[in-house]
Amino acid sequence: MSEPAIRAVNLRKEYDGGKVVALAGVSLEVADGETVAIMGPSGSGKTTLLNLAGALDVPTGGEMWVRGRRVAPDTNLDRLRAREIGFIFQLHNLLPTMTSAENVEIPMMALGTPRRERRRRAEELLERVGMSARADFESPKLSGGERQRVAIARALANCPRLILGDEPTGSLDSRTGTEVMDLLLSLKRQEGLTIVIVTHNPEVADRMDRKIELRDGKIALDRERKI
Amino acid sequence: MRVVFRNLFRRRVRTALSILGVAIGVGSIVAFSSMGEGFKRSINEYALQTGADLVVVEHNVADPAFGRIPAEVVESLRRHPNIRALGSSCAMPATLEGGTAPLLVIGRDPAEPIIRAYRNPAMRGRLLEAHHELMMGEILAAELGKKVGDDMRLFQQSFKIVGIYRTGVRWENGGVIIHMEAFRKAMKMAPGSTMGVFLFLKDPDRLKETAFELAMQHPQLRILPAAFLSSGFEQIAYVDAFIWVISLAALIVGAIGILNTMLMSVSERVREIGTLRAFGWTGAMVLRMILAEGLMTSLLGGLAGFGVGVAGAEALMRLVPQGALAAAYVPQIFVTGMAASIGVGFLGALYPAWRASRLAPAEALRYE
Repeated sequence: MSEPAIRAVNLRKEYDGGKVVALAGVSLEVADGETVAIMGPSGSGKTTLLNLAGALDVPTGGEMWVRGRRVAPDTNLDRLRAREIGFIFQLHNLLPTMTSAENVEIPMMALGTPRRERRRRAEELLERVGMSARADFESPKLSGGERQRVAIARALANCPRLILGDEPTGSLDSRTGTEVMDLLLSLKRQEGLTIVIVTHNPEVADRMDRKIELRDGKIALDRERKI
Repeated sequence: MRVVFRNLFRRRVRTALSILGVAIGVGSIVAFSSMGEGFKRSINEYALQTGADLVVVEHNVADPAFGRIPAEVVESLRRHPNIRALGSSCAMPATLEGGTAPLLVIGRDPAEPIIRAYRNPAMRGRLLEAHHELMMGEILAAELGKKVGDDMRLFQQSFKIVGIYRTGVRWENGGVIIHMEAFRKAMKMAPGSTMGVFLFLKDPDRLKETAFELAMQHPQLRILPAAFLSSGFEQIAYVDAFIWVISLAALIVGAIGILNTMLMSVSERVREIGTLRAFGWTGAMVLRMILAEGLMTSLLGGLAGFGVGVAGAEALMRLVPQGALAAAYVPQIFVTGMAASIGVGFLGALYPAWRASRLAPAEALRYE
């Protein structure tokens, strides 16, 4: 059996020296190629869990492993994020002064990919998400759905195996949201990606292999989809 | 690079204002330095046009006009084996009766060769010969409506204008030349004494050795090559220092402008910076990006400063009476201006860039 994409062991995250407990001992494994929805009320620790899985932050207790690397202060987390993880944010987080293609190039810049190669790969990815025609548009000129497509292309730039989404359809109308999820899941099938998304939307969650519900920093429910 | 530009232009007015801040600082360097340089060059040109090889002034006086070289020292200089000829030179600013702008009064001995500097095709009339005769610069003559043959009062005495001259030194053309004896009398100087001496060498190739030998014999004197007479004016060093203090103050203001702009820019872009970090950008990459933006702003400010400086120098020169100054825009000044703008950009952007690089990715992404 291959190494899990994510492995959390009694994971804790506290803020303000323990006054705020965001995660109070979470243990879970996400297998390579699995799709997971993380649900739960606000303040339940969803975003904190996603941040730790994304190596954006380090735990205050327990262990977090992402594709065999421990998320800890002495790991090169910048490198880990650049190589292994692709993020999709609720508000797309495209840089407004950059074109679609340049936004897609951001992760490749982190790895020092040569300019020509970056451009070639960005064009290829924009084509795959149906955005070639908008490659030289700056993001304020794109619609919400178009922005999220560019954001998906950006998440795939360095061929990461793990895609993390924080409410990726949260700012889209339901039809556009469905289209974006269709795109994401078709890419997942082609590439064998692991996808973990935080969502409030049950329809989005129903399309995932597995649903995890957090409550007060703990796992309240962990259920495989009935097939 | 293009992205750096686009980031700068998303707040056009703010960027323009910080460019202006740097432009004023660099402009002040360019304007004042080029005027100072122009003045120095005109002093050197004043010495060079006499055809002399060396100039002698007194040590420890801020302006050679305060120096008094006694007759016996002049004679001792004359005895040096490599001296072919010498000329005494005096110059003082004076005001005319009737109170116009100050004019330069220069003393020359008609028997000495340096007076020939005024005899050129542009000259009308002749060189002065007698104590009561005077030569007038072309600019002053035009201003006062004087011509050859007219009289003029100076130092409570009447002079006859025998020649109108034009040289390559602007302020000299706004002055007058009188007989050395008349000058000594007006300034109550000892007979045969002088403020400066121009030396003509038999063998100009031995200029260095001759200057060294004379300096050893006369430790109270400064022996300068004619092309460096301006370094005998120690007051110019004070003016240079003054220019730097003003320019430095303007540059600090420019740096604070960049600091403020970049701090605002960083605080507006916290979430963007968090996004860059999420995709693996290191703190150092973020630091470089913000520094590049600050440097680009200040370089644009430096280029604009060249324009501001040249325009400022030209405007200031119009204020100088008789057009007596010509700014010299030497490359060195622009190199200094560019270096100053780079320094300003770096200093101004360093702290914002450091702050941006230290943002925690997770918190930066949460930032609204």
